[in-house]
Amino acid sequence: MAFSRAAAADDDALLAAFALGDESASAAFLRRFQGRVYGLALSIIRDQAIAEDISQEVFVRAWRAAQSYDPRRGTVLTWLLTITRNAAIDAMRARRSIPAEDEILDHLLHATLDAAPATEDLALNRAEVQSALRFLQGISRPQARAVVLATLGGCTAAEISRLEDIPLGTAKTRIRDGLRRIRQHSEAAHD
Amino acid sequence: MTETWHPDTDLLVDLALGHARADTSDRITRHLSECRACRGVYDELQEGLEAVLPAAPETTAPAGFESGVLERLHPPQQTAPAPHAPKTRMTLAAAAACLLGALIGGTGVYAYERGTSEQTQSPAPEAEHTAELVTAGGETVGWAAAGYGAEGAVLILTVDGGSAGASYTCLGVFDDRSTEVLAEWTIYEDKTSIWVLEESADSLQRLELLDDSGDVWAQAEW
Repeated sequence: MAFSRAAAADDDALLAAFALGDESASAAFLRRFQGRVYGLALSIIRDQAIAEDISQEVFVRAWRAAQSYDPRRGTVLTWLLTITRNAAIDAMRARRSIPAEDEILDHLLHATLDAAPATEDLALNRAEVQSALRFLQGISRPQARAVVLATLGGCTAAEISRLEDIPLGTAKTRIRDGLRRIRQHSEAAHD
Repeated sequence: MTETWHPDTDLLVDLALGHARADTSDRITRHLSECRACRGVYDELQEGLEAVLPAAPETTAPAGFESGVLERLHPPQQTAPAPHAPKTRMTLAAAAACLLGALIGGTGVYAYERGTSEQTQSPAPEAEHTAELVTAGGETVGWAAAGYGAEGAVLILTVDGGSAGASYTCLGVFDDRSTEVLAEWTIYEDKTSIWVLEESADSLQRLELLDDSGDVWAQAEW
């Protein structure tokens, strides 16, 4: 199979070409990241149509903000997913209610806490995905569940309290301590 | 004055997760700009959050997602066909010619290539106002036709037969036999190019595309 130069470019170079408005680079950029952007939007908003709208908006925002991307602050994927999460949380606030969709949340928990890194990530050597999974799987299971539901599921502490059938204070503690532990793991990994 | 209030960690968690109420969020954000200790705690939480995000499961985007985004990022600058006699002098705009080459002249040219995306379609002018673009050897290599763009009447020129790297000077020949160089284009890829010129009121009799040596490569005549 032949790959275009855009498809083979590293993330930073691809983002730079995307920012310049090159159409083939835009297509390659989309193909590389759309699954992850859409996946995060869907896990937070739990509605396919709205997740699609959010994901489209994310790429438009990314295109507008691409010049401000600073590789010293994180990878392109993390930058893009931060935009996605913010957009999805904004959309979530605008909705009266988010469907519980336990199936989506169960899938989210299973995919992040039980599954091994996906084959395609290994093939692409996408280190940040493997690191994130390793960080989550390196903290206590209750903390990891709370962190996943809060960060990737968009759940509030009150919702996690109900879902996990734990007191609100316990839910808050698990989120807080889980995020701190993960940050420590992340920092240690970079040292 | 030094602020004595400090948000507790749960409020900082709420802010990092985007769950803080708007009024609380504003107050904490202001505080974080002044308090290094609280800023440090918040940054830790934010870094923890960002470290987790790549773990989000990948999900296949719906069919048409890619083309939908590309259409928003690279909208085809399409002009609607309209019956209009093209025997008028063209005026030119600056800009927007990075794909198709340098333009010269004055006021409003759109340029794009057919085939660069699935959304881009060739304009379909009415046949009676269309003139074929024919080479000296009699080969049809495109057409010119009248239409309407966002700014008013335009002349649409398509070229199928050019080869990548070839440059052409577009020369207008008017009813009073005067001539004017309307544009200069370079074809960068072996695919159909579409150029759009704004019209003025002067009558155009013929369009000529001159090659690098100044010879007429092809022309459209009404």
